[in-house]
Amino acid sequence: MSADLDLDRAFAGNPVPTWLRDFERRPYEALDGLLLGAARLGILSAAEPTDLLARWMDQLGDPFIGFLDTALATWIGRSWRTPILPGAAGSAALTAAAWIRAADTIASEVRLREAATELRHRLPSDRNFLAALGEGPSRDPEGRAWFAIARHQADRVLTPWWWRFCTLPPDEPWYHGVYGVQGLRGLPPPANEGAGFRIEVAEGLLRLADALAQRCDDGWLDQSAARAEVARIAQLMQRAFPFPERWAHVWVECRERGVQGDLARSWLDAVLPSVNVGPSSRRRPLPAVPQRRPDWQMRAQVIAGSLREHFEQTLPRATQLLDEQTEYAEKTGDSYNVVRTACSFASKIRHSHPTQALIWVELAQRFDPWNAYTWTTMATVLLALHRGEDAMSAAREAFVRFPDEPVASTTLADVLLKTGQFVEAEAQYRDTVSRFPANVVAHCGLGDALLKQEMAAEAEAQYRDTMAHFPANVVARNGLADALLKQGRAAEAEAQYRESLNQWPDDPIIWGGIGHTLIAQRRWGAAVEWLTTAARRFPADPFIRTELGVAQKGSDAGLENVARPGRQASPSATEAVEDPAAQPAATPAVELGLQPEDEESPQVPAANAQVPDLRTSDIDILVNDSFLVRRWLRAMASEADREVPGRLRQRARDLLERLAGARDHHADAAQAWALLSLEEGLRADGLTLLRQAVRRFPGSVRVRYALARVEREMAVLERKRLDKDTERTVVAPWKQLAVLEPRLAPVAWLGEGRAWLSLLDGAVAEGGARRAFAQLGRWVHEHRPADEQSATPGNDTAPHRREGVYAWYADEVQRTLFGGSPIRGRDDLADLQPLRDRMEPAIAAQLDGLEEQLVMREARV
Amino acid sequence: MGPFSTLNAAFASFLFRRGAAPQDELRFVARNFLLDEGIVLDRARSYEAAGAAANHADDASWQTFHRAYLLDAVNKPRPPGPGSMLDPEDSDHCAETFRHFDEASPFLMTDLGLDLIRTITLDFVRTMTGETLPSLRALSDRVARANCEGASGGPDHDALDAILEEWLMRVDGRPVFAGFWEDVKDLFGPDPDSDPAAWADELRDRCGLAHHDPGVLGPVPILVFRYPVRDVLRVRGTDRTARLLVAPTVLDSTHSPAFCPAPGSSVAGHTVELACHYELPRREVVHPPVDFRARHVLRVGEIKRPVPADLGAARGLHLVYLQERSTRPDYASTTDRDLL
Repeated sequence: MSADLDLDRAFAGNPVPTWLRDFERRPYEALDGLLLGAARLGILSAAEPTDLLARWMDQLGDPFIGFLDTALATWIGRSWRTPILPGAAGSAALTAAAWIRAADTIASEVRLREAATELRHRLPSDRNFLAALGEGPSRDPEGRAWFAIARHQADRVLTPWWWRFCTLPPDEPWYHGVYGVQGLRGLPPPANEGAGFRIEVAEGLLRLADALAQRCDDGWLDQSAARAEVARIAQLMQRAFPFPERWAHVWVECRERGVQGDLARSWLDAVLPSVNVGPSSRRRPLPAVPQRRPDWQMRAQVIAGSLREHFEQTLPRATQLLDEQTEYAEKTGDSYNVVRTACSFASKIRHSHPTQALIWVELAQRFDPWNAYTWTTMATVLLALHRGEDAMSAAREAFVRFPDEPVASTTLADVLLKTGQFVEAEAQYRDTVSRFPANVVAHCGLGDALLKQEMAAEAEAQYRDTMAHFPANVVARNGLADALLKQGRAAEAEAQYRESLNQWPDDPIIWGGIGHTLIAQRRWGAAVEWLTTAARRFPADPFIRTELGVAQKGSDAGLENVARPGRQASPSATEAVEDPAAQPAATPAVELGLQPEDEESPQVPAANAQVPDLRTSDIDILVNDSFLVRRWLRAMASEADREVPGRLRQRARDLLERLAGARDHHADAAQAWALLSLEEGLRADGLTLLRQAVRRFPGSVRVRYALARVEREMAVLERKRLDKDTERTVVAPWKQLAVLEPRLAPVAWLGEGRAWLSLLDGAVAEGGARRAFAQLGRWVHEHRPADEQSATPGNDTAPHRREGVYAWYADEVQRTLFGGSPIRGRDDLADLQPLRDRMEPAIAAQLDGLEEQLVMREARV
Repeated sequence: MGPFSTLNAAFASFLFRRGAAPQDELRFVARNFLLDEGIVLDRARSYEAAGAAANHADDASWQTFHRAYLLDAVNKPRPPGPGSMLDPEDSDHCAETFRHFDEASPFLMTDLGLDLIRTITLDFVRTMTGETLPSLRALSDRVARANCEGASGGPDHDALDAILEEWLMRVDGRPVFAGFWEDVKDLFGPDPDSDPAAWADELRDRCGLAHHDPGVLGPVPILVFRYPVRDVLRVRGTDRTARLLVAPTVLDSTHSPAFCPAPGSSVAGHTVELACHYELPRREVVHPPVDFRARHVLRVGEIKRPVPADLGAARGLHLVYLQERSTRPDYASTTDRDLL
């Protein structure tokens, strides 16, 4: 393709720039050269390529802009997902610069529509590609691409994205918040609003201020940086929408609502007009700022109460309510109501109307992908739709995003169990039990997983242990009965059920269980009699009805063999606790179209090595899966009386092969492959790959973390001594991690302390370890939940109560690394021996897991 | 001659060959690489390690490797958040330019109150901030006029501050090329209305900014900053009253045909006077980043006159000056015999 620009006429006899001649002949190649800095520019060599394009667009106008638009669109299409462009001299930085130039050019000219469309088509679903090239706000191709898209919006489809940026979810760098506000600014006005002031832009600013204040409050962001960010964006937006009276109106109303925190309010007070008076406001009332409606909560409760029983009649009211809440969320970014309502409704009908439930839970997740409830509900809804693979994806994602939420952990285990992955389910339950020992669902689930593997004796022990700790839990008791039955101890099972019946006389599971044990004992008459009574009490219970049929048939024919699984072949402990009434009769996974129950199941990825064009979602699955498989291997390895099942090992090897095809193109895949290779004993290969990957994906926190970890592990294995070189390769990467992502400071301190101790030789290493662990100890002391702190002897300075993922993390670190002693400074670490003792392999593996959990959550790439 | 004339035979051969080719202005860049005596050996080796010091097949290859080197070693990403100091030990964020410097350099003692001058295009700011050219130009002009009247704040200043902050957030930590106010102050009147008509063209010529060429770009709108040395970011390890101003080298920026390195004994560089006036060349330094603000805005203008056609003549005159000033009559005699 060539471009007819009629340059001689445009330049009226003056010399035509060489690059324009090149562009006229071969637009794509010329543009590629310009973006990468290889173009023939003569004396213009020192100019910024973006400046040159801006000048020429101004000077030459439409013909040039049209050809440039097409060339840019082609360039984006061809270059996407190429970590280092072929003409970039092997430099990720140059590749990043080329993307920034392309994005800034698109942002600067509204007529570059084709290129903008191409970028928009790719970015939202594959943003990690550009994120892996980023190195902070001054080299941020992803951010610049969002900015370009923000400037070219012809519809409001991206609205939830912009609100998400404004609220700074955990995996978003703080300097991306501005793109949320810019995105809202670039939205076409809603149909009923004209041009002029935009309330949603003002609301976006307010939300961002709060989100930045939260980062400051958590200790991850310097207050002066946050204040400057808010002030700058407020200035820019007031310049874009010069309506001081309207700004004042929004700000005054917001203050009256009292939703803004003190810190954010102090910043905004300094930059927003706050006096809502003026001649025009007295003449004409200003439009109201959108508000939550006070009746929403009540309506949601009423609708939820009747959805399951009267779905058709209730659906219009449910839709109406969600429409109102959606509209409010789109205008204000306040998605609390719509997310809560949509999840609640979806949860109510997930078994009876799973298709509608899915629509609602997707709505909730569109607004708030950082709400654990949306993910766990999504997983259960997908299970109900017999979409086992998708349910697994949602459950995995929930686990990675919410390591502090036991329900995310048990939901994953439950999905594994229901999709026939019993070994994995067992490992996941074991992991959950060790992290959340008070979680009864995990204890029961572990028994269930053992039972499914025909390990009835082990299951029995597990249920008995659970009953000892949770005597009031019916699921454990029923599980025990089932385990006894599986061992041919039907009479004992019956006795167990009958004991439970005293406590839970209205539990249909117990009623059905007793009938089942009677059948197993071939006590046909008793079974028929018992089940007939049970069927009268629970006429809708399919299991009881089925068992009654079996008993009657047995009674008639004197059947010998009735050894069939009981009701809770794969009981959902989670659901039993969550919503016992919603529990349908268990349907075998095979019937659900989920996972075949044999060990060599096709759900385990096939061992085909090369997957040349994996979708991003496929990569996400592989990466999360590899994270989990490593956790499961550790969980099983920690059981002294349990061999690591070959199935898990095979799964790890399969993943290694699948990831190998993607590791050069995806930062996540490189990190996952390297850490798996570590697990498989291929340390040198992992190290080599990561050293390359860190250059290829300079913005990937995950890759940097993996490299730091492998270097440390190699130092331990090779008994490396402390010198300048090992300090640079083993210790320094941990410090860099905190620079790249401040929220990973606890991981960086933990990793650095361990790195120092991994090196042989004396005082210097010990001093370094003491420094790093003291910082970590102080952080832990400040962030542990107050009730945990109060249990710490000698605690008299417990700060205000903390909660959430950092409180959980601090508590885990205290428990795993420091034990019972609070660490408030270096003086508490005079003797490092207790910490050295914690470096032994079993605890080190737990510490590895802790490091990685936060990295996986906080670092998107 | 500089270290690249001997460090790597293949690259030296490429440079001599490219420097002798008569085709275009890039030959001056090749000559500069041979000439530049200000490059410390560590930097030359770093350039070599980046693959840039090689026997390149063509200009495009050299340019690409040079750009890659710049981005990897010089134009470092700025750390997120506020930074009051540049740490030479921080290889992730400190440009090589400021990691290897002569602690005895007299420029470290430059008066903090001395004013520097820097010219950028308005396009550079507007493409990164989403501002329109007319509104940015108008705002900057109002601020420049207010600054002349001694104003230091107000809504326009606040607005331009926000725009400049937004711009600087997106610009990497590249070394800043600057001149001295003393060397160009005669181009400006007490306020914009009193300026000589073609001050922007003249400023471009004096500062050797050949890439601002209206002949091929159309009129180039520019923004001129005037700021005290005090506002330059401090470098850790230097005295509180010191700022790092160093002579620029070929490794501090993209290939620039209008650049000419100073002899090794110089503490500052000198710009090539594009209009071939045989005047005292103006001093040029590079320094760590500055947080440019509205109060620094001196003028907004437009370069309209094309760059004089004969860059070779300008370079020739410049080299004659350097030979005289440095008492090095043989300076550049190997590389630029055709011009001397």
